[in-house]
Parts: sequence; structure tokens; C-alpha cells
Amino acid sequence: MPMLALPATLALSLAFGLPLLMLLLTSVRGPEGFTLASYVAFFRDPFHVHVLWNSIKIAVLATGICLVLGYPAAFALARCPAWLQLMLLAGLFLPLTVSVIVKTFGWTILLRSNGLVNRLLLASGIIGEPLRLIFTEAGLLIGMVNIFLPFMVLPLFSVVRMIDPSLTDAAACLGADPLRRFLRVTLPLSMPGVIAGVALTFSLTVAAYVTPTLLAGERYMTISMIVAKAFLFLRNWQLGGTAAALLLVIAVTVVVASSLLARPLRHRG
Amino acid sequence: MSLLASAAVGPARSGDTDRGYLEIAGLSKSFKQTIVLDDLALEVRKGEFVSLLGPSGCGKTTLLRLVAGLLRADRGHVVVDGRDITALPAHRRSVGVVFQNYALFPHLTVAENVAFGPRMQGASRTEVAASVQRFLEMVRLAEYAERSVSALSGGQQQRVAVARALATRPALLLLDEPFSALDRKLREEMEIELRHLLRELGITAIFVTHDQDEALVMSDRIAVMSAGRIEQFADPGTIYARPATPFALDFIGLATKLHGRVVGAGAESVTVETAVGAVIAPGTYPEGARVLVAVRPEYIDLALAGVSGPDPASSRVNHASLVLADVVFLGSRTLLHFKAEGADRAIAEVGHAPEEGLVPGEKFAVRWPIERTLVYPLP
Repeated sequence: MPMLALPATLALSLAFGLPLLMLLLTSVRGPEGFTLASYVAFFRDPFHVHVLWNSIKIAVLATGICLVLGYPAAFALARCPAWLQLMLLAGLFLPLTVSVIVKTFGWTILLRSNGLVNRLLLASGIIGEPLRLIFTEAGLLIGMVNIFLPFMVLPLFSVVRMIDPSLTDAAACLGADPLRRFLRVTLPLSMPGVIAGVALTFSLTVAAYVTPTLLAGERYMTISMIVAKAFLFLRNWQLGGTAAALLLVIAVTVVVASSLLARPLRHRG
Repeated sequence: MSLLASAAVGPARSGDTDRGYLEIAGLSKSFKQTIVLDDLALEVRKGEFVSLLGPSGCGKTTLLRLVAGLLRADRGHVVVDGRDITALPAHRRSVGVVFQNYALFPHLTVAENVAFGPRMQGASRTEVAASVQRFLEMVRLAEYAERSVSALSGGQQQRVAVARALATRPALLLLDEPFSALDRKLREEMEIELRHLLRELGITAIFVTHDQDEALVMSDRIAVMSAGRIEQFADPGTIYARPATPFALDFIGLATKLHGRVVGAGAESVTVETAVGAVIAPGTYPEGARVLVAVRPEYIDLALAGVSGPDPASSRVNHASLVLADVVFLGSRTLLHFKAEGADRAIAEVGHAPEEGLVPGEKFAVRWPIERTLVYPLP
């Protein structure tokens, strides 16, 4: 059976793994061979550390908000009638077919000072004068959550729909009040979905490039913008390779940690 | 035993031993436009095992869920041991449920599943451990305590579900078709085992099933349900021998059924003209009334040479002449299917079929006691 994965493994290692390896090698190659000087230099520069922090912060916030919004949505989706589920899933999938650039430009229109969001807030009397949303952290967060929410909901939904609704009935008949039914039964059973959704959403948001570039720009730099800048404008391959390697380490750490966390849960199920 | 005796909610009230331990009155439930339960009443005595027997859609599972508190009744009351639980949510009712699919918690071990209820009731660590040990031993699964529930067979899972429900010391145990996922042989073993266990513990139990054999084997009393109503509530013997309605007659066991019209009405019996001739049945119906006449197969005798039976000339026996259609061998007994014009079916059951002479297509004289003839009014 493992033989069946051979073509895909070959294609991935040649087209993806090899260039990535070469890229990473540029970050540790100095005039006298192997060196970690570029990493030392990267962390000595307060600007780079700040950008790294920005990336992690926006990824944590966006992932957190996606989880809070996506968790109940996944349950609603899993427990609603079949026709409604189909419509809602289509609603969830369709935005994925639209390019992220188009979606992000959409948000730049909505978020600008005379955009729909500000006009609605003004009309409802919540605010007295237009808020600055575009090129701010708040605006970026709104756009990120919108664009990456499906990547949280789908893994959650796929786990939640397998949870037998009669388990909560059983817990109720055993004397568990609604809160304990959730904490003792529903939450632990949905954890594999939470972990998968968080890992996926976090690794996508921490590495996002288009959305931060268009919605926040120079005012809120992220690590992927450093990578692009280093390669496209500065022609500094070593900086680019270093930043890319750090990004990869963050994403891989989260994915590996989450799959380790999920393992004991899967074992019992 | 002492542990379970204290499980019942409150002390038994004096002077009302005739009243039910579980009392259901005027219970109604509709889903949108469909009436599922209609003004239903049921009284169950303490320690009794009662089956709700009926076809799917008769409302038996809805009734169970209303008693468990998993559904809210439109009208009516549910009282357990003098305590009105109609308005209480499921987690405050002290009603145990064994679900059809068992609904075991897949993320917990066998022991943790059984410990769930006692933990929710705030039992101490040692009390919980003692309960788990006691109830797992009771269902003979003590050595499986640390296993994952998904590693158990269907019969073992079912026993875990029973142990888990009993570990909360419920005032009432509800079972929703708990044997339907088991194969026949295992099911028959589990039926007897569960019956013994519950009787030993003195648990009052309501058992939902669509399987008449299961209901007959296990129950102290059976409530035959149809279209949201209870057609008959009686012990299995009465239900079988004296079905109260054509529905109960149809749903439980086999019967020969003949449509006819009353042509002679006596003080205690009527003469009914049917397609197979005149049939006398106990009962009082006016002349001209349309009725259904029925006989259970085991009361019908073949009037063959060498087979003893009631004297056909006797006035206490009905007799008819029928054409044999099929012989069905069932091991300990044999069913003879007859062709009878105007009858839904005509079936006789004989313990020892004669070795020869049962040739389909031939005409046979049959007879059955008048006192075993059932008669029902037709609309």
C-alpha cells in the first residue's frame, strides 16, 4: 500500500521539497560554510522581532475568533435539516472558490472610511464619525477572520457531525446538567476537530501574505511580508531564507504539537 | 439490596399500595400537526416490568422520552412514587435510560462510563469506585473495567449500558429496544439475564419493543399501543388469550379471522354466519351486527381418524370444513394453513402432526371450543 503514495511523494519532493531545502540552505550558508549568523542578526534587529510578534499575534487572535465563531456554527451545521445543511455548506465552500485577492479587495472597499461598514455603524448611531479600519490591526483581523473561517468550520464540522446526539441525552439521564453535558461529553468528543481546525487556521493565518499586505500594508508588517520583501526588492536571499525558515518552524511546531495532542483522544475513540 | 432499597425517591407512602408507583395521566404530545400521544394513561406498580408493545410510529418511544424528560409533554402528568416530575428536566428526574444504540461515551473507558452517573450525583471517590465495581460485577464485566467501550462486543456494550443506568440508582428504568442490535441467540440470553437482574433488584422498568416475543418473555404486564393510544394493558397470558381489540389480536400471535354477521343472539352467546358456516361465540351482540370472529391456532383441532379431540357433535364446539393449503413445520409444532373463503387466514397448530394424510388440496374437518372463540364488533 505505501507504494501507492510513491508518485505523489516523488512529485512533492522534486517540485516542492527540493527547492525548499535549497532555500533553507541559503539561510545557513556563509562565506566560510555553515553559519547561524543570519539568525542571530535577525533576532538582534528589534524591527524583525516586532514583525515576528505581529505575525504570531494576528494569527493567534484570528484563530481564536475563528474558533469562537466556528465552534457553535459547526454544531448548527451538523444538527440542521439536510436541505439547510447543503445550502450552508455551499455558502461555506463558495467563498473558497473566489481568489483571496478578490476577497481582500472586497474588504478594502467595505472597510474604508466611506465604506459599508462605517456607513452602517454611523447610520445605527453606534459611532459619531467614521472609524479608521483599513490599514489597522482591527481591519486586518476582520478580513482574516472572514477569509479563514471556513478552514476552522470544516474540520470542526467533520468531527462534530460524527458525535451521536443521543450521547447528550444519555448524559442528561445520568444527572448531568447542560453545562456538565458540554464539558464532560460534547467538548472532549469535539476536541479532535478543535485541534485540527486550530492547526489549519493558525498555520494559514501566520503565513498569510496577500491579506495583511492589502489590508494593513506597511503599518502592520508580518513575517511573510519580510520574506517577500527580501526576495523581491532587497534581493537579500539570506534574509528571505531565514524569515521563511522561521515561518516554517512556527507552522510545523503548531501542526506537530496539535497532532500529538490529538493522539490520545483518537486512541480512545 | 440495601443500597438499592435506599435508591427509591423518598419513603413509600402508606395506605396507597393500590395506586401506581408510576402514574401517567392525560399525557398528550403532538409534533406540528401530528398527534403522537393522545390523552394517554398508564399506571405501573412498584417493581413491575412493563412492556410498551406496538408497531413503529405508535408513540411508544415518544412516551418513553416524555417519561425520561427528553421531551416536554403538551398536556398531562407523570408521577413517580408520589413525586410529580412532569416539569422537571431530564437530569433532575432520577430516571435511568438504556438507549437503543446504548449511547455509551466513546471517549471514556467501561469503568468511566459506569462512573459517570454517580459522579454527576456528587458521590465521593470511594463511593464511585464501589458503585462501578458492584454494577460491573452485576453484569459480569468487572474484568473489562479499563477497556475502551469500542473494544466490546454488542452484547457487552449492552450490559455496560444497563450497568451505567443502574449505577445512578434510578427510581425508574426505561429501556428503548435494547436488544434490537443483537443477534437472535444472544438476544434470548440477554432477555432472561436482564429480567432476572431487574427482578432481583426490585427495579420498576418500562421496556419499549416492537417484538411480541420479547414482550411476552419479559413482561409482568404488556401495554399494546397503536396510534398514540393504549389498546390493552394486561398480563401476557390475558393479552394472548383474550386480546381486547382486533389490533391486539393481530399484533400478538396468529389467529384465524372470519368476518360475519350475527344471525342469532342468545343470553350469553351469539351465532355468527361466516363464509365457513355458522360459528357460535360467547358474547352479546344485536342480531344483524357485523362482527369479526377469531380463534388462536392451538385451539383448532383436526378431525382426523386417530386424533382425539372434542366431540364434533357436542354443542360446545364449533366446526368447519376447510381445504388444506400449506403445512409449516416449526420443530416442536406444526402449523396448518387452510384456504377459507371470506377469511383473512385460517391457521391451526398441532403439536404432533400426523405422519401421513396431510396433503395440501384435500378437505379437512376442523373444530374448536366455543369458549375459545373470540368475537369483536366491526364498524
